[in-house]
This record gives sequence, structure tokens and C-alpha cells, in this order.
Amino acid sequence: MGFRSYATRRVINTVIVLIIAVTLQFFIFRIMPGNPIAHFISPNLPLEVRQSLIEMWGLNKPLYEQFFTYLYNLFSGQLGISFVSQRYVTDELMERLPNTILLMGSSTILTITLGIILGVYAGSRRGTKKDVTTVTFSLITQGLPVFFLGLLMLLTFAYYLPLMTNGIINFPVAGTVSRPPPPNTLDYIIDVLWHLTLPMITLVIIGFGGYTLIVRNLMIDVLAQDYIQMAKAKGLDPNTILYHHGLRSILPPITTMVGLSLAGIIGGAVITETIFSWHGVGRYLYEGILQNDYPVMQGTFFLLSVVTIFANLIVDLIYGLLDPRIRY
Amino acid sequence: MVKYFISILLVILLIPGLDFTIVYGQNIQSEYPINGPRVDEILFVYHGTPEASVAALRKGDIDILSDIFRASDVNALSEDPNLNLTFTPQTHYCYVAFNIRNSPLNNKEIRKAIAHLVPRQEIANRLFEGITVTPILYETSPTFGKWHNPDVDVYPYDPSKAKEILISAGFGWDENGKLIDEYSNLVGKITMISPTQEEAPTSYEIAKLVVEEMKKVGIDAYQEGVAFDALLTRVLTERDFDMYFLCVSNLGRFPRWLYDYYHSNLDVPDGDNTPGVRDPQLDQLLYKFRFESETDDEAMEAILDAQDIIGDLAARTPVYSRYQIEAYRKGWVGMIKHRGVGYFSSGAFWTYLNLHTSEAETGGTVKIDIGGKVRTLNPLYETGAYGQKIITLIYDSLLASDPDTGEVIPYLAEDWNVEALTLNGHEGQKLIFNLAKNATWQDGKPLTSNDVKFSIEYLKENKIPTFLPVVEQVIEVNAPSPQVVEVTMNGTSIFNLIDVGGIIIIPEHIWKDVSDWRTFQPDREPHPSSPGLTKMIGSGPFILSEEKPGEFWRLTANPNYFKKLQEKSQPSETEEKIDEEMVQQPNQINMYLVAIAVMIVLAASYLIIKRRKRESITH
Repeated sequence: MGFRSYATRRVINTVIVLIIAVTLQFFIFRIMPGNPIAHFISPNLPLEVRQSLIEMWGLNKPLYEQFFTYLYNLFSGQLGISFVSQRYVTDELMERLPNTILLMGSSTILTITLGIILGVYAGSRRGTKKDVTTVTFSLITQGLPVFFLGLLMLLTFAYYLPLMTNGIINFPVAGTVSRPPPPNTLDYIIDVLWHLTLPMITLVIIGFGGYTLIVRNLMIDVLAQDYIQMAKAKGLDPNTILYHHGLRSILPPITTMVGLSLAGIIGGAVITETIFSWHGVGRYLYEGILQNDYPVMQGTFFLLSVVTIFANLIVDLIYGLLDPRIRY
Repeated sequence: MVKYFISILLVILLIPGLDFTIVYGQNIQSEYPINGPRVDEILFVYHGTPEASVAALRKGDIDILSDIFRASDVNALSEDPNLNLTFTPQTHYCYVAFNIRNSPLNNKEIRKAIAHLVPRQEIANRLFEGITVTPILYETSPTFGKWHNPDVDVYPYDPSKAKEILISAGFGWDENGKLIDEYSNLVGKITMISPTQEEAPTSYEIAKLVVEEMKKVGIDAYQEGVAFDALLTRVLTERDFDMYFLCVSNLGRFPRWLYDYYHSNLDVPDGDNTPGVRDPQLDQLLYKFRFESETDDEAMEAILDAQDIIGDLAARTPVYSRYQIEAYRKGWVGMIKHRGVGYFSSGAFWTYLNLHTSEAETGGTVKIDIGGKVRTLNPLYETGAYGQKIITLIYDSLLASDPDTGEVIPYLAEDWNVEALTLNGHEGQKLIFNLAKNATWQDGKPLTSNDVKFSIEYLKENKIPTFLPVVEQVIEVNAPSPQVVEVTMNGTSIFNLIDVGGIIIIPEHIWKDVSDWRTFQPDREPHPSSPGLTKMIGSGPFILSEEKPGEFWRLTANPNYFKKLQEKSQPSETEEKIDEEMVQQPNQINMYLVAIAVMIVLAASYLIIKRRKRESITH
């Protein structure tokens, strides 16, 4: 089977998976206990108001009709209107997406880079103190609860440190930018980066350990292979062996890991975004779930599904290109 | 003798010179509405967690924080010498409700006995460290002022009283200590549902405590933790429960929710009469209160009587009420206490007009924690407390309310008149409002009766859910002149005036072109003719000048505000002296009057004593 045939099959599979995902997304949320109107139990909103809201949201229509409306909206490029805010889900997502991409993108790049560097470093020094230290540190950081680390970072660097240094070192308590933001563009960019620091470091600390451990194990396996021994016997430069022969051969599994993390870049980090008051997609999805806001849940999950499914497709295609033996 | 007079005179003359310090309460305000705003800007800021909010306040990033609900935060903030804390009882309460449709809870006496088994003080002390909540016995708490009936039956924690009630109702106990009825049958199992421990640990613990108390008196009680959504469905829609624990907040100024909670019309799926109360006399009183009372006295009589019946029914038993706890940096003054609301939270409108620093009567920026997620700034859709904080400062209504008594007071409508009518054989009312002549929209256009007519008709035509119960009673709106609005209403209820007076007034020139009111986001669209403004145009004291949704909202003082604070010129030195004298004069006059009176009394006493001495010498 040639690459073209392989690629065609992967694309068809992707489309089928996407259709199944879209259908499941509609029905799963409606099977969940509770309903959106249950959140309007305030006595200030009497029964007639609640009934009127049900009509306005189209929840009084038969399920199949709601499903077709949902599909129609998707095909016409809309993700529906949020029950809670009455804003287009697309608009709300687009408002948050840059913040999430900034936070998750930067932290993911740093996490993967750090994870690979430390993984290769530890893997090439198997059994030494440096390896044990790296593994221990990675295990500890990976096991830290993100809410704990986030709050610790917030209180230490955004509250106690400014008080102790009389405001000389003053990390922000919340947000993506100062309130109000600086008028000058350059100051604005610096201000955004300053606000990015704590949540980004939190995510990197929590995340790099996993990559380090995987890369370390992969490296240990690779470095035990015959061709590496051959390279060593040939007297090749250790760095060439490590990076040119060793690291290169573990690139496919790393590519998979990176591909799968793409959805995370779009999906955001619920707890980190909440602790640092980061106006991102993760918090949006979480609030949507809490409030049974079907359009928000459907819209966000649709976006995540698309990114995950297409990232997988791309990874599969790259696999096919990287390794011609792969034709499943 | 001369010495005697001189010494008395000296003492008297020195008295006015003594330094007396009189501290006035900073929230005392003699009359409303007041003019303002005093600050130039309000910056509402969002924080994702209570930790971030508290840190921001202590660090000085913000000046004011409302909705503090954790005892640990209260403790931390109270230790900060730069902050003041306020505690205001809210129109909020948590309750245990009974399903009175089924046995054994269809027996009023067993409900009363269980009500006596709720350890309210223990709950407040153990779960809230005795700080953030107060135990309550009244469903309509004293926070409601004159609408509170203090003479209703209440059920304080008293297990022995609970047993007495059960015995006098014919209940007893078998050899295993289980409760049996008068026919010696075991009383059926009672399950109390609450949110799960993971979702709402406090509610779960409360249900556990109540169930334990019930078991102690031999009631076969169980607790079931269910997901919050499922709990709401079982309670509100399916009525599948014996007992449950829930809280409600923002009950408003009047106990109108009692109609929703206890009228048999609302004992329907999704109706608020969850216990299933069906009492014809109570129905009559609640209906009269809600729809037929023409005067405050009539409404009050009906609702106080209704509270008597509700107390006796014991279909719900109150447990505790949460305080509105707020903290602000020292140096800010002029805040006004709003009954049942607090000083700064949503609804504390007058504070934002009067707030200023102790150093300057006007000017400056106050930074306030918004408290939670602002869902939208569409004034016709947002019902959340946080969005309303902003919306109520931008948009106005015809009438305002006194922060203490809750009585309606003039605002956009300088005065009003209510006329009785007969409409096709039914009783009705005509509400006539005379608008303030100087009221304008924030873009400078005059606010006229046509805007008011448009607003009410727009809400009615579009069937906007939140306003539906109000505008359904409106039959017709007329604008006979630019400053006069006539609203013809169904029924004669006192709430007609209050409800219409509270309708948000929107500018016709902006909203007439809105194609879909639901998705209209006035804060995101530029104003068609005024650069720098958005379509979020009201007539209120503040203009939305900048926002970053999910982060901050900057409001600046409206220069065209119809109740704008008059410009104050800086007083000259002489004027200051005059002012000082004017302040001191009344005190000194009083003191001198007292001194003269004392001198006269002493002189008279001296003369009497001298005369008696002379008489005794003579005798």
C-alpha cells in the first residue's frame, strides 16, 4: 500500500471519527443529570420566567429537532449561543483563545524542551547521581497538585515577596494584563509577559517531569541498541551519538506526545487559569459544564475534538513519511 | 462671697473650651436621593479565586472587597490594620424543607418536632466558626423590617421539646427506641437529600448533623448525597424527596417569594412550592399580598397573617442566614448601608454616589473586586449579581429605593400619582410619572417620556423573561408630554408602582435598531455618533469607558448625570473660619445657656441660704 492510499484511508477515518464525536457531544450532555434551567432557582425568577427561558433556548423542542439545529449551526460555521451569556460561543471562544494559546503554547514549548533536555541528560547518565536526582525531581514535580503549586506560587511571589521587598519585586495577583493596562504598546507587551510568568512557570513545573521520564526511558532503550554500540565502537563523538543517532530515533514517539498536547494548547488548563484569573478557554469550558450550558460545552468540545483528531491525522501522516514501514 | 462667684464663673467659662470629640457614623445620611458621584472613576476588577481577591486587597491592588464568605479570610482581613470590615445581615437563608405530600411528613407535628432538632448554633459554630453566618428561626427575617412578623411559631433547637411534641401527638417508642405512631406502627423511613460531600461539604455536613439528631429521638432517618443538578431535578421537577437542604439569596426588599414558595398555584413541576403546601386560607392571604393590596397596610396585614400560617405549617424550617461581609481600605468614607444588601455589593447604589476618600470630597479612582463572573452586560438579559453591579451604575429606573426602609423614592421620576381605574369590569391603576427635566442620556441626548414608553413596550413586545411578570400587568403606556408618562396597569397591587418604577430605562435611539435583543452586546458595539462611547448608553452616574472582559471594567463619572454633584469652589481662609464658627456657635450658645442657668441656680441657692441664716440669727 502506497502513501497516497494510506493517507486517503486516514482522512476517511478522521471524518468518520469527527462525525461520531459531534453526535456524541450532543447526546452525552443531555444525558448528564440536571438541566440548565435548574440553575435559575432564584425566587427572583419565578416559574413563568423559567418557562420563558426554556422556550428561548429551544429546550422545549423535540430532541431530534434540537440535534438538527445543532448540526445546521455547525455546518454554517456557528457553535450556537450560550444560554448563560447569550453571546455567540464562537465570539466567546475567539476572545479567550489568544490568551490560552499564549499561556499553553509557551508553557508547552518550554515543558517539552525542558523535558527532552533533562530526559536525554538523565538517560545518557543512567544510574549516576545526576540521573537519580533528575528522576526524583521529575517524579516530585509531576506529582504536585496543580492547585497547591499554583496557590503557593501566587501567595509567595505575588503577595509575600512584594510585601517583603517593598514592592520592588511585584508579580501580579491576577489577570493577563494590569488593570488598567499600560497605554504604550511596548509596555503592554512587557506587562502581558510579566503576567504570564507565574502561570507559565507553574505549568512548566507540573508538566516537564512526565516528558523527562518518558524521554529518559526511550533514551535508555535506544542507547542499548546495537547500532549505538557500533557508533561508539567506530569512535564517533558522544554528542553525535546522543543527538544524531539516539535522539533522532526516538523522535516518532516524541512527535506523538507533542501532537497529543496540541489539544491541550487549545483546551487550556482549568485550574491554573482559575487560580491566576487567566481569561482562557479552560475556565470557559469548566464554567459551561457547571452551568449545563449546552452550546458552550458542545462548541468547546467540538473545537477540542477537531484539533485532537486533526493533530492525530497529521501525526499519522508524518509517521508515514518518517517511517515508510508504517502503513496500517 | 466675691471669691465664690469668681470661681464658679471661671469653671463655667472654661467648660466650652474643653475638647469634646463627637464621632458621627459615616453611613448616616439624612435624605435620599443624594447627588454624586464623588469619585472620578470606578475600576471593577475580576479575581478568579478568593485567595487572589484577599491578596489583592491586602497588597493594596484594590480598595474594596465584597462577598467574603470564608471564616479564614475574615480572620486574616480583620488582623490587617489598614482595613475595616463590615457585617450586614442579608436577605438570604438556608433551610430544611419537608415533602408534606407523603407520610410521615404529612403530619405537621412530626415536622415541628424535626424543626426543633436542627442544631443551628452548632452548625454556625462548627462549620462557619461562628463568624460568617447567623442562626435564624424566622423564614421572613428581621432584615425585612416591617414585613417581618416576630410573633410566628419558631422552633429553636430543643430535643426535649421535640419529644414532648411527639408524645402529645400520640407518638411513642418501641422497645428498640424506634418511633412508633398511635397505632404502634413504626414511623416510616425519612431520607434527607443533600449535595454530595465533594460538591458541597458544608451542606453535606449540615444534613448529616440533622439526620443524627433525628436518629437520637428514634426517627428512622437517612442521608443521601446526590449531585447538585440531580438534587435540583428531584426537588424542583420530580418532587422525589422527603427532606432536603438548600439556600436562597437576594430575596429582595419584600417577602414576595413567600407567594412562590407557598401558594398552591406553584405546586406544579418546576414550581417553587416544593413542599406541596395547599392551604386555601394561606393562598388567599398570599394572593392578596401579591396582587390585590392597594396600600402598604393592607399588604402588611396579609403577609403578617400569612407568616403566622407558614410558621404553624412548618413545611420549611430556616437554619441560618449568611452575613454580607465586606472589607475596605481605611481612608475611604461615605459608604452607605443598604438593608439586607451591605455597603458595596450589588444593589448598594447610593454608596457609589457618595463614596470618597477622607482626604478629598471628590475625585480619585476606587478599585473594587467585582466578586464573580460577569456573564454579559446586556441590561435586559443579565440577572447575575456581578454584571448588575456595573449595569445599575449605568442604567437608571424611574424610582429608587431608600437604602434603609426600602420605600420607593423619587429618582428619574421626580414625583408620581396613582389613580384607580375600572377596566372592562376589572380593577386597574393608572401610574402617572413626572420625569426630571434635566435627565439626559450619556451621549447628551435628552431622556424623555418616549424613552420610558419605548422601554416598557420593548420589554413587553419581546417577552423578555426577567421582566415578564412585571410587564404582563401593563396594559398601555402613553407619553402625553416629554416629561409625563402614563402607565395603565391591571390590578391594584402596591407592587405595580414598585415594579414599573424599577424597570430599566433604555435609550430608544440606540435600541430601536437592535435586530436581536438577545445577542445584542451594547458594550461591544461602538456608538453610532459619539466617538469613544459604546452603545452601552444609560442615564446613570457612570459611563463604561473601558473594559477587558473577564478582567476589568472601567467606569468614569458621567458629566451629564442629572443628579450631578454641584461644583464646589475651594473655600477661602475667611470662609473656612466662618464655617468653623458656624459649626462651633450652636455648641457654645448651648454651653453658655447652661452656664447662665447654673449661675442663676447657684445665686438663688446662695440667697436662700443667706436668708435662712439671717432668719435663724433673728430667731
